[in-house]
Amino acid sequence: MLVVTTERIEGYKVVDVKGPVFGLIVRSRGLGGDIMAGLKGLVGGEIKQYTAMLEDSRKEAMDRMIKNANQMGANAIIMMRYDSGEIGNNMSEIVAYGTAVVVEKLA
Amino acid sequence: MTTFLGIGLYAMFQMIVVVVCILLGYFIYDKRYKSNRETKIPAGFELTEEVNLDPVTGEKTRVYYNPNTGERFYKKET
Repeated sequence: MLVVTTERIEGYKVVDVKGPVFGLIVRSRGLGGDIMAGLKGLVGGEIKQYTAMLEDSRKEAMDRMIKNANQMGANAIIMMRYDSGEIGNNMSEIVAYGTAVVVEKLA
Repeated sequence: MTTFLGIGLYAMFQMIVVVVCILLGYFIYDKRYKSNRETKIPAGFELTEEVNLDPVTGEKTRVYYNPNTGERFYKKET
């Protein structure tokens, strides 16, 4: 599955557009991670507990989006983007979205 | 006396709940995504050019893709 952030894929031709596709995830850290992150917040620096949470969220959102595109019969996703938001105090929502297409390699 | 005992028991109950939540989170729920990945690539998965460098652990993982199911597999590389 080709996933690109551009409108066109070099060396390929879009032959069918399947439609919009997305993968959504809402994640939170556990109480232990939140306490440690809160303590780290007092002194500053990178909050690795939340970096890890967002890294994993983006991976999972991407995986879900690709799985959805596969189910739609696409073999590529163009114009892929991430969007994020917050739900509650310690929950993070990440969505990966794009346009599922079928591409053919140019001769 | 009875009131103090009641407050003490209630505080202890709250502490137990917090400790149980932390232990459950640490040992069961609050794991890294696909942290239990196997080193052997499952059948039907193809190599992609995608590589992830974990910002926290520094681990490098290579991504494999199954075109039949759409699933992705992360293999740790040394």
